[in-house]
Amino acid sequence: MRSLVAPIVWLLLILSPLSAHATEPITIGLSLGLSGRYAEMSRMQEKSFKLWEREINSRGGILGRKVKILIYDNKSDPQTVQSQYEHLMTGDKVDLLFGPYSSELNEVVVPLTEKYGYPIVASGSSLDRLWQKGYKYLFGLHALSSRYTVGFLEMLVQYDVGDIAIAYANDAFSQSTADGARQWAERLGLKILMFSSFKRDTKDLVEIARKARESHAHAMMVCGSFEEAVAMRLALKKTNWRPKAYYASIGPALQAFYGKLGADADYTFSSSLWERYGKLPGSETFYKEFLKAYGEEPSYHAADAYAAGQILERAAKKAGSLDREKIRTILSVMQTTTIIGRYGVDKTGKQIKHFPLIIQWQKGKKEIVWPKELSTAKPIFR
Amino acid sequence: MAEGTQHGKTDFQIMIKYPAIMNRLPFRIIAPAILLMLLAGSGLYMFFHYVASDFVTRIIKNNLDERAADIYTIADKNLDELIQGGLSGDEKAVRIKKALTLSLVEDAMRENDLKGAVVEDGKTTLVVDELSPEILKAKPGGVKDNVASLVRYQGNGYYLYVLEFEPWKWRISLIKSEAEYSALISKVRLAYALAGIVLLLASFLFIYYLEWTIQAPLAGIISLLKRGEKPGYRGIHEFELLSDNIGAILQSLQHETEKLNSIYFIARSKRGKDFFDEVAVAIARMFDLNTFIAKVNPGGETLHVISQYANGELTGNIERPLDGTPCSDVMTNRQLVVIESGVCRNFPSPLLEAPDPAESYVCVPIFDRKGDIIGMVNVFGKQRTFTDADIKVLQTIGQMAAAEFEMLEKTVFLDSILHASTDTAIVAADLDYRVTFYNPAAEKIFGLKAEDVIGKKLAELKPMETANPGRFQRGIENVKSRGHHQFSYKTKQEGEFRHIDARIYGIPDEQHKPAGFVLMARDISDYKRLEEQLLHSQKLEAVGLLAGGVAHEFNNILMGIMGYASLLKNKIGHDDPSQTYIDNILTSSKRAANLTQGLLAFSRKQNINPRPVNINEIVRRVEELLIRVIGEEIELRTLLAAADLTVRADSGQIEQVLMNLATNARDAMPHGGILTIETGAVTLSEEYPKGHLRSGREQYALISLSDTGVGMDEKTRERIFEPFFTSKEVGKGTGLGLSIVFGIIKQHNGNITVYSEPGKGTTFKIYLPLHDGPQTEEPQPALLRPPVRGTETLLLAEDNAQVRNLVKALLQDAGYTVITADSEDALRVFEENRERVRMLILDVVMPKKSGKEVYNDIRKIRPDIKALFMSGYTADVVRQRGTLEEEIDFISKPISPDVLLRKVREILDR
Repeated sequence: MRSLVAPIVWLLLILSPLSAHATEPITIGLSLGLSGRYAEMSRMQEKSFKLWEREINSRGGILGRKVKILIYDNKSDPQTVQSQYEHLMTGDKVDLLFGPYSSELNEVVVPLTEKYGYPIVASGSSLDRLWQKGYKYLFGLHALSSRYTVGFLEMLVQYDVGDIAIAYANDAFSQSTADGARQWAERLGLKILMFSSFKRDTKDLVEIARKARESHAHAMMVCGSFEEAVAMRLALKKTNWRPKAYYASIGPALQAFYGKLGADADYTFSSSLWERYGKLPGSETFYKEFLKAYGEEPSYHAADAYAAGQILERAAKKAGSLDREKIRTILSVMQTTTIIGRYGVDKTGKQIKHFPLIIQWQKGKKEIVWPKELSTAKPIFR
Repeated sequence: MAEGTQHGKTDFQIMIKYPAIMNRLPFRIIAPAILLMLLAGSGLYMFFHYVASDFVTRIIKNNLDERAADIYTIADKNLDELIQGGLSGDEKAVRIKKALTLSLVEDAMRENDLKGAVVEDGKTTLVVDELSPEILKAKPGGVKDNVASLVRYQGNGYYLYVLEFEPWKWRISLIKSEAEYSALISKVRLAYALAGIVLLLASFLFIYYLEWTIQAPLAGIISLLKRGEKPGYRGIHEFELLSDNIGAILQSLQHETEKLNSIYFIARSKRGKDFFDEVAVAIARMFDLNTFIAKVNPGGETLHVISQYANGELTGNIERPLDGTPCSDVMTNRQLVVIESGVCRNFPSPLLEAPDPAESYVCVPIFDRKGDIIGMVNVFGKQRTFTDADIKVLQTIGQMAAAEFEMLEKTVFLDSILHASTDTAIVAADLDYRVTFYNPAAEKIFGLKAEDVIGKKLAELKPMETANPGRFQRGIENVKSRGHHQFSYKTKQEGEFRHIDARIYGIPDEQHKPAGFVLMARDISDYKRLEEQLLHSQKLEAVGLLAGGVAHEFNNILMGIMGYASLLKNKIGHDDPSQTYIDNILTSSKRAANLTQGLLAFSRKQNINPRPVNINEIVRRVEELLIRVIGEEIELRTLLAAADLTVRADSGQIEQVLMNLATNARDAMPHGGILTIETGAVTLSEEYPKGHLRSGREQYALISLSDTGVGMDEKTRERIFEPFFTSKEVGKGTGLGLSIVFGIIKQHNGNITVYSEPGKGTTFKIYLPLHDGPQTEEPQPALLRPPVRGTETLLLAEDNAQVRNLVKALLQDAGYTVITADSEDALRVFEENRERVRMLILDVVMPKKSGKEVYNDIRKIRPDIKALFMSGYTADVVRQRGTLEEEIDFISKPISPDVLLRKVREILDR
C-alpha cells in the first residue's frame, strides 16, 4: 500500500500548479485619479471598491476564489491612465478590470481595453459619445450625461420657473450634459436665454454669472466639475444675483459641497446617480457599511463603484468562469438591479434602465426632489 | 475471285465521314445537358435571387414595421399614462410627457439603429442623425404612411417608414439604412456564388459522367470501325450488345461482299454470253452447287438456258420447257422458290438431274423494269440450307442479270437503228481518231468495208483521205472547239462525181467530257442536180420576163412603122417606084414582128388559144412537114402511144414546138441520123421537183424527141433555152428556137428537159398535163377576106397618142368616122356623140383609167354598145389579170391594118 502512496503524492505534486491556480485570488485592476482633478470622486470610488472587495471575499469570493483589487493612482492624467491600464493587462495580467473615474480618462482607456478584450462596466463615465463608437467591451452603468438635467428641467416646467441660462465647461462630459440640457429644454418648451461655455478649471465664473444675469434668465445651470459648481455659486453671490433656481451638474451631490459652501449651498439643485433614500435593495446596507467603514457618507460615485462590483460578480457567476468573452456576452444581455437601480444595456452597451435623481440642498440637507415618487422634499424655487 | 477478296479488305473499311458538329454525339447529348443545366442553373439562380432579395427586403420591412409599432406603442403608452393620471388637461404635464416620450422614441430609434425625425404640427422636435433631414428630402412627399419604401441618397439605400401619432399630431419618420443589412446581403450573395459553383461542378461532373459512360465507349467502337476492325467492347451491357451485333453484321457483310465482289468483277469486265457464263461458274463455286441462268422465252412456256454450269461443265443455249419444273411456280407466283431437299422427287425434270437428282433448289426471278419476269437465276444440287444472306446474294445477282439483259436488248436495238440507216453513213471514232463504229451505209458512201476500217485511224483510210486530205481531222479539231462541224465535198466513185454532205459531232461521256466523235455523211448528188435545174429554170424565167417587156414596147414602135408604111403604100400608086421601098419596110417590119412574137412566146406572153387536143394527132399532122424540114438524110421515127393523150393546148403552138425541135435536131445531125419522136403517158412521183411543173397534177403526156447528133456538153446544155444563145454558126439561127419552145411549154403548164452528152445525141422530153375532158373539134380557120370598109362612127380611146393617131388614120382611111378621146374624157365624148357612135375601140391598159372601166361606164348609158379592146399584152395575160371576160373581143398589138379592119367590120356586122 505504501508503495502506492508515493506515486499519488507525486502526481498530486505535479498537478499542484493547477490546484494552486484554482485557489489564487482573482485580480481585478483599475487606475483612479486619486490625486488631481478627479481626486474627490476617485477616492469615493476607491473606498467603495475596497468595501466591495472585503464584502465579496467575506462571502467566499467569486467562483470560489478570493478577489484582489489592484488600484493605481493616475493623478487624473490621461497619459498615465493609459500606460497603467496597458500594464495592468499586459504586465499584471489581471483577470478583470474596472474602469477609471471620469469620462475623459475613460475615453483614452477604452480603446486599449477593447484591444485586449477586457469588458468594462463603466462606473466612472456616462458620456454619450462613448457608446457611439461601436465599442464591444464597454457597458454603461448609469444614465448618460445628456439625461442628467431632465428631471430639473421638468420641474422648471411644473413650477413655471421661467427662462434658462446655461454655462458649461469645455470638457467633453460637461459639453454633453449641456447639450442634453438644451435639447430637453427645447423639447419641454423652455426658453434658453444664454448658452455659454467657459474654460474648464476656471476659478472665477463671475463674468459668466453676470452675463447670465443680464440675460434675464430665471434659472442658472452650470455643467462642470465639483469645483466649478462651487465657483459658480460663489460668482452668483458676488454678482448679487439670486436666480429662482441654481443647478450644477456635478458636485452638489457630494457632502463636500455643503462642506465648502455652508449655507450658500442651500437651494442648489443637482443630479445624483444614487442617494441613500433611493429605497433600492442593498442601498441602505451599503450606506451603513460605507459609513461604518470610512466614517463618512458615500456619494453616488461610491455607489457606482459598488454597483460595478455587484454587476461584475453576477456576470462572472453566470459565466461560470473568468472567460472575458463569456462575461462580455452576459453583460450585453444581463438585466439586474444594483444599489443604484436597474442595469440593462442596449446593443451598443449603453445603459438604458438607469435614471438620475434630482437633489436640492435645503437647510443643510440634501433632499431628493425628483422624481416625485422618490422625493424626500418638495423643490424650492426662490 | 482472288481479286474480289483482295478488294474485300479495303471495301470493309467502313467509310465513316466526319459528320457536322451538330450530328455528333457530344453535341446531341452533352450540349443539351449543358444547356439544360445552364437553364436550370440560371432558373435556380433567378429563383434564389428573387427569393433572397425578396427575403432581405421583407426582413428589412418587417423589422421596420415592428420598430414602428414599438415606437407607436411608446407614444401610445405615454399618452395613456397621461390620461390615466388625469393629466391630459394639464398643459405642463403634457409638455413634460411629450418630452419624455420623445426621449423614449429617440432611445428606441437609436437602440434599433434607426435614423429619423419627429415633426409635431410642422415643427421638427427630434432629429436622430444629422443625415435624416437630407434623406427625408430625397423622397419629398413620396412616402406613404405605414408602408416601408426604399429611397436612395448619395448612392446608399434607405428604407423609410412614416407613422403618425395622431393625438399629438406627431409624424414620426423612421429611416433604416440598407447598409446595415450588408452582412445579410453578403451572406445571400455568398449563397448564390456557392450555388453557382456547385451547379458548375455538378455540370462538369455530369458531362464527365456522360463522356465516361456514353461518349468514350462509343468513340472506342467507332474508332475500331474506322480502322475496319471488329469492335470488341466490354463494359456496359447495352454497348457490349451493340458492339457484338455490329461485329456480327460486319462479318456477315464481309462474307457477302466477298461473294458479291467476285460477281461485280465479272459484271465490270464481261459482257453478254461471257458475263452469264462467268456468273454461272461463280455462283456454282460460291454455293458448291450446280447453276443455270435462263431467259424466259416470249409466251412464258419455255426457257432459254443461256449458261449452265453443272458438274464442272459449262454449257448453254439450251431450250427447256417450263412446265413441270419448280420454275413454273416462280412464273405463277412471281416469287422466288427455295427448296432445301427433295426437289427431284416433286419435280422429276431432266433439268435438275445432272448427273444426280437434285435435292435442293433455289430459283430467283429476274424482273425487267416493267416488273415482268424475263429470266431466272437457279441453283440446285445436294441438300443444303440457304441463309437470308445466300438468298440476298442470289437476288443481287438476279438484279445484275436483269441489267445485263436490258443492256443487251438496248445494244441490239441501237445497233439495228444504226445499221438500218441506208443512206446516212455513221462512223464513230475515239479521241485518237480510231474508228469504233462503221455502218453499212458508210461502206456504200466511202467505198470501204467495215472490217478494213474498224480500229484504224481516220488518217490511214486512204479513200477517204485522198478525196479530202486532212479534212476529217480538221473537222474534228473544229468539233473540239465548237461542238460540231459541217462540210461537203465532191468525190468520184465508179467514174461518177458524187456530192457528199458530212457532219461531225462530239460524243460526250457520262461526265459530259469528250469521249469521241461521230461522223454522219449523206450522198446528196441527186439533190444537187435538182437544185441546179431549179436554178436554171428560174434564170430562164427572169430572162423571159425581160424579153417580154422589151417585146411589148417594141410592138408599139413596130405598129407605127407598119401602119404608116401600109397607109403610104395605099396612098402612092401601084406603079410608083417607091412601092419597092415600102414593101421592103413592111417585110422588115414583119420580120421584126416575128422576132417580137418569138420573144413573147418565150416569155409566155403570146396569145394562145388552148383547147383539149390529142398529142398523137398533132404529131401525125406535122409528121409530113417535119420530114421536109429534116431533109432526106435524116430518118424520122415516130413511136406513138396507143391511147389518146389529151392535153389542153394550142395545137398550132405545139406544132411550132415540134418544128423548132426538129430543126434543132437536123442541125445537130449534119451528116444524117435518126430523129425519134415518142409519145406516152407518165405518172410523176412526189420526188419529182414540183417547182418545175405548175399544174400540180401527176398524170402527164410525154413527148420525147431524140436525135443521134453531135450532142452537147454540160455548159451548152445549161444554156440552150436562153434567148439568143446559139452554138450554131453566126447567121444560121436566130437563137430563139429553143427559147420559144421553152416559153410555149411553160405557157402550157408543162416542162421540158434535155439529156445530152457530146457525141451521144440529145433527147428532149416534154411533159404536158393530161386533160380529163373530151377532145374538141379543131375550128376551121376563117377564110381570109380582104379588108372591109365602113362608114360608121367609132369612138377610139387610147392614151398613147402615136398609136391613137395611127389607128384613127387606118380607120378613117377605110371610110369610118373616128372620134378620139383619152381615158379620162372618153365618157364625156361618148355622151356628146351618143347618137352617132356605133362602137368603142379601147386600149386595155391606160394609165389614168382602164379600158374596162371606160367600157363599163358607157354600158351604163348604152348597155348594147359594141367594143373592141386592144393591148400590147396577149389576151391570156390580160384575162389572167381579170381585166377582161372571155367573150370580149380583143386584138393584140402590133395591130396589122388588115386584122384591125376585118375585126371592126366583123363586130359591127354581128
